[in-house]
Amino acid sequence: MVVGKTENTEEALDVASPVGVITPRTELFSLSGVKFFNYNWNGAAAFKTCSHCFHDAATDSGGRTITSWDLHIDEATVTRRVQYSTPFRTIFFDKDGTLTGKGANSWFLPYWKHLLQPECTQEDALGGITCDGTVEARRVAFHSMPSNFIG
Amino acid sequence: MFGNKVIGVNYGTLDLHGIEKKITWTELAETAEEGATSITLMPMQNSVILDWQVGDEIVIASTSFVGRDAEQRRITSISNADSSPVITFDEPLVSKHYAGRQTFGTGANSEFIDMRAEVGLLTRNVVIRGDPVTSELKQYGANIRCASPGDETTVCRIDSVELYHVGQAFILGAYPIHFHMIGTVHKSYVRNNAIHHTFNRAVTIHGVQYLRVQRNVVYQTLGHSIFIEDGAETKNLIEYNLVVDTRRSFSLLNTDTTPASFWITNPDNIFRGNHAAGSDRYSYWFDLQLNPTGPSFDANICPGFQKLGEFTDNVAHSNGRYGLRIHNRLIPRTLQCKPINYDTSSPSYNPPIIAEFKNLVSWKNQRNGAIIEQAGAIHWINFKTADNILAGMEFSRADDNI
Repeated sequence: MVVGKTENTEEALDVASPVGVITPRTELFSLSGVKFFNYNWNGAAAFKTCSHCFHDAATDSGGRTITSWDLHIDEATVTRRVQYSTPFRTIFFDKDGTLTGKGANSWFLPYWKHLLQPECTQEDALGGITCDGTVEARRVAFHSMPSNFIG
Repeated sequence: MFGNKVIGVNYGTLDLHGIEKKITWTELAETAEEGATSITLMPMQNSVILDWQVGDEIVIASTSFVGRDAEQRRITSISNADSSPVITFDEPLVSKHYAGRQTFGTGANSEFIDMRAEVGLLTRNVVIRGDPVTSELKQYGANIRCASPGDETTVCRIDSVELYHVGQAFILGAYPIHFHMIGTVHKSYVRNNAIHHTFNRAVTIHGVQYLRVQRNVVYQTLGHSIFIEDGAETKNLIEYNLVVDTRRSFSLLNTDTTPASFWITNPDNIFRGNHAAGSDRYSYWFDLQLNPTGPSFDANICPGFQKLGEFTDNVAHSNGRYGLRIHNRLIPRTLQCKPINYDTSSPSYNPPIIAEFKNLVSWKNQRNGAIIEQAGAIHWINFKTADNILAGMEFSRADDNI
């Protein structure tokens, strides 16, 4: 269980934007059975992405896939699912829909224009895009792409 | 060979036994507000009667983001010693000390977390202390050193003793209680002691195996408090200790400027039921190098790749950085110093070993409840985190590339 704030809170926490879990900058990470409560103020969220990728010396280009299932994200106290951070590319593969609400094998992605396909929905309140299980999201590198390809 | 202000044991036996207290530390049952002059402790169990005395000194741990909000008081009265003890003391509390169980969610999704200030007894009838004139002034106190090369060659049994104004700043090796390069120490133990106001750590476990460190109360130490030194130390049992207010030292190793209540250089030890309540940086720091350091160096020992002994039911709170920090890596495998190999038909088959960290409760840390820099087959099971400013849990890498 991860709890953003309890009755024992203090000002230092009230002015922050904490998250439940910060995900790695690599593949091979999964989590299940985690319950999230009370991440509903400032920029707080259940997840933040790509640990330490904000660092000047970071070299990973992002786009790593996190696998999750059997999550409980308390609807009443956690709105934002993901606080995306540099480089804004982490892919969440949701095996049972408990992250996205879109059923088995669904996806949670950051907002990029090219990702907003018919199977996907822009969910600003949740912090990204959700896609149903009829599509797959993959880490792909594009080179020399036109400047208007992503938005 | 042992310096001065020291009890040195070389090829010998040291027995120090005070009157054993049934309870060396417990927790608040109710929040103690700022200005309070009494506290209520958790109910006694199994017909135990609280055997603390009027005049004894206690420490009440911080429940804020600052470990140094711990407070020491002298007991002026005790009531309800056989049920829910109420302790009155001589001076009002400066800070609030929280105690409560909070439940979140309903039905199958219901979970609770207990967050309670710990209360430790600092007084014992046998006292080892530095002299009152120079010890505090020069950070140069008393120390106990148990050292002789060879398994079981020295025995130190230290039980229910109070040690204060102990350890010597700037002098590596002059620790309040120091087991040094003995090997196996099956007959030795450090238990039920109160070690407080030190100038150089609390208990050092250096080059020994099978030491028992149990039910001690440690308060206001400089540098890593419970200190496993080189990285070759294994099979030590470290359980049910309370460590309060671990402070930075600038007279020790570089890492002591970012101290941990438990500094762990080899994962193959047992950590069970400890509470680390307030440190300038960390509660539990697994600082795992490629090989042991110092006199224990051995290219055939690889702490970052060894199996975990046990890490169960530990509590961390009120730290300047992280409750649990695993750094640089923990990637356990069957043959610790060989590369992982998943090919069962290969003569160099070397599968990973799963390390299960269980039931950590980590709250009120200025960064995370828990963080691991590089995780191999690591399972964090039933962790509970709350009120952490950056994150409940963070995983920087989950690969086995070195």
